[in-house]
Amino acid sequence: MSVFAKRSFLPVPLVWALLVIASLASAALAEGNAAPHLGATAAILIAAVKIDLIIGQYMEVRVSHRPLRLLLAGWLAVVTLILLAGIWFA
Amino acid sequence: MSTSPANTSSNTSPGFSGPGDSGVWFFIIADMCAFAVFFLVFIAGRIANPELYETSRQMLDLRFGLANTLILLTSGAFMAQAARDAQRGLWLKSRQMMIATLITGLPFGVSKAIEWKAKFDHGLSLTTNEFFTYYFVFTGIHFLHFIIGLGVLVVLLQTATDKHKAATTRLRWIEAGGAYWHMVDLLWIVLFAMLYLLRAA
Repeated sequence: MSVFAKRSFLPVPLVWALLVIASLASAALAEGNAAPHLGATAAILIAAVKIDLIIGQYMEVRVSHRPLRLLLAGWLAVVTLILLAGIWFA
Repeated sequence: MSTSPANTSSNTSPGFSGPGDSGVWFFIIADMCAFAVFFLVFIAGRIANPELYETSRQMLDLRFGLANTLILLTSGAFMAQAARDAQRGLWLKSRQMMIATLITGLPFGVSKAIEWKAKFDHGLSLTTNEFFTYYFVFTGIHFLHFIIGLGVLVVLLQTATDKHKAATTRLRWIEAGGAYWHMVDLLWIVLFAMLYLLRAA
């Protein structure tokens, strides 16, 4: 029994579909009728969710080496905060 | 041998249990940190001069940014499937998925070239203003990573069915190369949000 067989991941087509829908939604929100700050904030948060999906499902770090998982989660948190600061402090 | 399942973890690095190779992950993390500094510099500039950044942002074509995002997401999906097939010892199928990764990823380069040409045709360049300096430098560096990723994919195509290499070695290479390709993808997601979607009031 492969150790990989014990891993449970979402099917790749499902992950892809979620990522595509999220991308279309973020573009629509950013250019839509929502207040600019709210639209941009939503777009950044959606981008963060997309990256988390890629790290967890495509890179398969979700069940992986703990320090690596923490490093990537920390990077995502810092980058998200930097981008949000660009909206709310500009 | 070539069709037998990879029955063990791909990783042989002591103390590292993640997918791929610890050395490649070190490079990926370092690269991502460098890009985080880029993002910080850009945002600092945006906070200092929001009008300039918003006016410049409106000169970008959202359709290119979105198309490039969808291209990389699709290419990344094939790469993820290639790694999963390799984990099951389906080397030929893994190779086919990597060919699909390459084919679906190539339009990113074409789209980027068309977008940059359109910008240059409109008189926009590195020296137009601070926003466009960052735009061309960051997307240019990202494009360089994309080109390197294409080279990695070509090497992986040969590795996937190389019977002279152990299954664990092949799997480690495919997972490491895949992680790099996904890094190119996720960095673009941040660039897309930061350059195209940060609408100001």
